[in-house]
Amino acid sequence: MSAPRVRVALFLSGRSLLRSNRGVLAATIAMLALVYLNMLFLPALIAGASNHVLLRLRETTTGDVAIVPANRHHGIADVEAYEHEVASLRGVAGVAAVTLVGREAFAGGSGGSWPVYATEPAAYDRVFTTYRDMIEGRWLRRGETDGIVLGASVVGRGRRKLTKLRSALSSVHVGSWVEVVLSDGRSHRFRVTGIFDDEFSAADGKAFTTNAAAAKLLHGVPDTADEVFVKTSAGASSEAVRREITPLSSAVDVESAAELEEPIHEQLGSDRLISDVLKVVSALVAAITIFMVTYVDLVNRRRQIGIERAIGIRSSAIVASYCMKALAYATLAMLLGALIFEAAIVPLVAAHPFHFPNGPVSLRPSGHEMLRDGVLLGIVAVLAAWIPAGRSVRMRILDAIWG
Amino acid sequence: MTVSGKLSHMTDHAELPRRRGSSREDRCERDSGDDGERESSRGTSCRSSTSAFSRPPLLVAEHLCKTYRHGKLSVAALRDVTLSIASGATVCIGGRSGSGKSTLLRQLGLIDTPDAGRIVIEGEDVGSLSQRARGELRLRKLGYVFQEYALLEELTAQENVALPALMRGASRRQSRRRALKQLDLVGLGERAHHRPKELSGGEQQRVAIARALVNEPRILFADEPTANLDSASAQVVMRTLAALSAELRVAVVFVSHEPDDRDYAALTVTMRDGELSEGHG
Repeated sequence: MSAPRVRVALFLSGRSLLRSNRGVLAATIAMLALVYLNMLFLPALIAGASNHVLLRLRETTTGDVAIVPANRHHGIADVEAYEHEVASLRGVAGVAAVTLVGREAFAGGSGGSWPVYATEPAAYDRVFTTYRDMIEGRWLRRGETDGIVLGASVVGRGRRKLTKLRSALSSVHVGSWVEVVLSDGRSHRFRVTGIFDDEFSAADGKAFTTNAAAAKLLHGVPDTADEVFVKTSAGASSEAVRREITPLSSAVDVESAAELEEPIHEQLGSDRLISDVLKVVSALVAAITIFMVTYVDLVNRRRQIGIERAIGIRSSAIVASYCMKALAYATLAMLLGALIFEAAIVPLVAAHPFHFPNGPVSLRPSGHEMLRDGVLLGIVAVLAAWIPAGRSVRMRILDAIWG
Repeated sequence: MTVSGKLSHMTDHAELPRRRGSSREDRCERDSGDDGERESSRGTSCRSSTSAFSRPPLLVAEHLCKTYRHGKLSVAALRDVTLSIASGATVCIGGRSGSGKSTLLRQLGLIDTPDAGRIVIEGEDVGSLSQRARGELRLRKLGYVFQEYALLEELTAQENVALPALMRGASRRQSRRRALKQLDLVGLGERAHHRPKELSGGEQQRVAIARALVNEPRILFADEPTANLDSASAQVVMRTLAALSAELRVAVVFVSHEPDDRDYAALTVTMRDGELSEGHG
């Protein structure tokens, strides 16, 4: 389009925006801002949920690199030496080995199947954040032989429905005694030193005791371990650390965080598809809004458009003026929507997060996504204005002037 | 009033069809006939009409026909109208209501398209032009003043006048300056920033005239420019038109059924039942 036509289109759209009905202008922008908010909300919620899951997965369950025996029936032998080797590698901030020492726990007439792991508390603290998530009592201490910490799901804390389950040890508190069926079939009583809530269902259904306790009760522990977890230092790539660890032993499988997160990403793929479908619906609502506003405007200004054409204003300039007006609506709506989203909705949800099965979820807006949705809104607005405007300038000038 | 041109029309409309062995109605029906043949026959009438001028005509319209159809009813608004307009002429098209004078003006001003006939402006046959090219021609060479002011409500007087200049390629500043100059010419320089609803009918019509003149057109068409005005405002508008025509050497063709308005034209022609005849105001 030539410069004069662009100038005329800008001139007409600018004057129309400044001097048209303020109420209609405000209502249109408010409507589009709502559409934009709708486009942002679900992706931000999904991003918030996935971020929570992935973060908690690393912080409570898998670490940045997970090492498991290649043959799942045997543990990782000579694990203390192996831990030292791994810990000495560049980019490794912490190494923790865990051994499954029991599968069932009972207390006060209730009981159920929960994995009970033995670990070295200080090492575990360097890899996972569970010690920070205590809701009762304290985390394990090195060398104690009768202490146990239980996850919130084991005792049903914070989950009303779980407290009603017979399997939940709902009567248990710090100081209570819990009977654990060990892996060799014998039972042993542990005193509860703490209860943790990682706000992550995969972690909160576990119980932990110390390697010292396991060594006292079970043969071969802690010489072997079922899993070894690695925390990478800040800035280090888990993939690079995985590549460093892999040659150390052929008897283990080493998986980086990216590999461990794959199942989560696959699950999130479905959520994103739903989000995209809803986004298309939102875009259609925006298109219909702009189409209707433009159409009514065109009907009201039919004579004016006829006059504009009669005095030599190019049809393309008139159509462009409507497209520019729609783009201005979309841009203003995007700015308003972004402001409301960032300044009101995101902080509000952060203060009062949604409680999903995997824990509390807040919104995690992405600047890239916000910009992309804004561009989508702009394109949809321009197209929705172009269709009726393009049709209206095909009308004979006299028909337009006479109405 | 300075008359800088003449209007010539086929004063003997009855004779011309007879010479060709066909009636006027026949010609209007033959709107989709052989172009070459039509060109040849019109060339004759065009030559005969321009032969009276010392200068080539600015606009030549030949055998214009226009019929409005509403269901089964059809009204012949123009019946084989031929005329030519020289540069700087001031012409009044008179006639009763419904005689076809506004229809004729709209065809000449390229606002509408005739069913048959052709219009040549400065040697260019506009019938062969695309809609875009016709728009360009309206922008560059023609000015049009509508009966009911036809200003854009959201724009000030200055912006209304500046718009065609902007479309023609002037910058914002240039177009504003030119608009102000035109508004000064029609005596409305001080009302430049007023919106149409803040102006009287006469003032709005003068703004419309300023808008029609801002691109320095060769011909200005005005469709009953005084129809909605009181007599004092009508006089101001007509004086403005006449003065601008003389000062800017623009041919002015206006439609009016007010006898007083004919005083401002060098030549008056009359439309009757879609046919053109000469008459003096």
